[in-house]
Amino acid sequence: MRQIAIALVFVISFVGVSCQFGKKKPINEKPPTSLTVTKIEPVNPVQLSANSVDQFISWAGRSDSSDHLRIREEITKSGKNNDVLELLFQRLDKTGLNDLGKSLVILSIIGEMRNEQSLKKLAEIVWKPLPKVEAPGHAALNERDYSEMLASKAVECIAYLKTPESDKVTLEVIKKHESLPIRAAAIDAYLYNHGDSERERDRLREIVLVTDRPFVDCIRKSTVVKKEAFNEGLKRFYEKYPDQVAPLPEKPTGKMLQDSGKIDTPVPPPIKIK
Amino acid sequence: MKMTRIFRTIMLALFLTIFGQSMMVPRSYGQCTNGASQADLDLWATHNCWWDFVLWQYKAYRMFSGEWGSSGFFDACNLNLPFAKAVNASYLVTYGLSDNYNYQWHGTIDYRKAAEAWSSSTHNQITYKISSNRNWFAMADCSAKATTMGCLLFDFGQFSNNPAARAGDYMHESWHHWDCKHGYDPSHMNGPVGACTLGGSSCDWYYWHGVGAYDFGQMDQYTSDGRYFHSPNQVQVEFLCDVAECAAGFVPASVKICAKTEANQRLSSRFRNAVGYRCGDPRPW
Repeated sequence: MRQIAIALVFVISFVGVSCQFGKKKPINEKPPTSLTVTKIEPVNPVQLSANSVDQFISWAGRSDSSDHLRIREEITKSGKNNDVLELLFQRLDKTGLNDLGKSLVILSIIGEMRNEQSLKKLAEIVWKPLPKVEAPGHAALNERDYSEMLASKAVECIAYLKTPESDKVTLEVIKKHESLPIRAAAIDAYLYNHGDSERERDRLREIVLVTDRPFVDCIRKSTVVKKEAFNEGLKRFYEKYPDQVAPLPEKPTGKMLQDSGKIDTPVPPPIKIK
Repeated sequence: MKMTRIFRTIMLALFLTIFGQSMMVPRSYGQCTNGASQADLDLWATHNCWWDFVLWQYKAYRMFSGEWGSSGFFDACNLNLPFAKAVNASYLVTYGLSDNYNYQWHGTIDYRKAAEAWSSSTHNQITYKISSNRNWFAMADCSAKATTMGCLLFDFGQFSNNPAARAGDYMHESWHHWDCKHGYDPSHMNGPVGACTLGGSSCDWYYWHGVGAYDFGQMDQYTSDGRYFHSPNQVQVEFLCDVAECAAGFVPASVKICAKTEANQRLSSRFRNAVGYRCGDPRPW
């Protein structure tokens, strides 16, 4: 009996502690600041070869910014390796839209290889028939979005090949593809791979759909474009296309939802681990 | 003899604890399809279920056991389940940006204020719930003071089963709550219309502004002339592009690629007006 009683006391105190975890209050409780991080496995660099395709994909996907250029160099070293290219396409086929993030990593590696043998298969991805336009639910992406995202990445890979044939395919996409997101990606990639020259911009203005003309003048937001230059470019865009400036927001309904409780000061998170 | 009794007591207590817990916690973890994407696994590997953060997150996002109990709340380090995936997305919001003043649209403080559930100048206090619905990513319900996340953000096999998409959706829904707090209509426009290619209630305006137009911490400020104003898709895209281009050093490449691709997809399909920029360079790697 005594044993059972002791056991029950133990269980009750354990369950009590567990329930604290699910308790709704208090929200103002100070966050923990102690650093108790479990061991984080290091990422081991891998060379890209026919024997290490899967390991390389894993490394590339998990890599942080310090490995970015190293991965780029590793990919370039294997750029002409058709066996590696074939294996990467096999992995891409297998992954497909089931894990689009992984597929995008694989496509990035394929594109960075800059291997002309990839053109045909990349073009197949770009021209694969898209699901019909549908009304997605609130904030959602749908099957068409997923296909467009994969195809947009593929057309960026094509443009990066920068050969007369790849330029021809890219221009065909710009002129004729049914999807605006894919055409917009193709316009941007074509200009990027032609030094963003005014000559090429003028050339595109002549061949794009009238409704796509603003996309020829889009600026790129990246860390190689300084804030002042980016802001200037964005301003120029809306001066050139004043019809693309959003109208005044609709007037407030006048019904402002009030908080029922007091305003809490957000509690800072625990100390940053890196 | 005494040792044996102590041992038996401990064994009995353990049995009762494990058995009792298994009776209390539902064995079926909601209706979302379990399984982690590569991007989730990659980000998770940078913190390995940092327990102090888990204990902070569920309060900051008001994700409570009543709602999330059958979605992994009691198995919070199991990345196959929705609760851990939501924690992973919160981790990205909390630590994932470098806060580079020269390049970022907005700062971590802005995105945290938007995503976290506390009442703030961005929105009233909300609660995060989960639903098995697969018709939408998530739904902000102002009158219920809640954001309900659907299975599309957690289902294995869905693109949106990644931390960037989930965190981006925290921003999107939070801005509907911003609308409600500030007296604006929280609904989207019906498409397709203008440059918005989608059908249904999916389209917004993009109210352009430059980098640095808002000081960090000022994202929720606005003027009625639209010079300083945000729509839900806009806040989502600005966050995704900041993750893609200005992430903290540890953020894995797979997460940044997902963020960049979704940002550009939304830029060219969710806005009625053409947006004057694209996110990132189109170089493959």
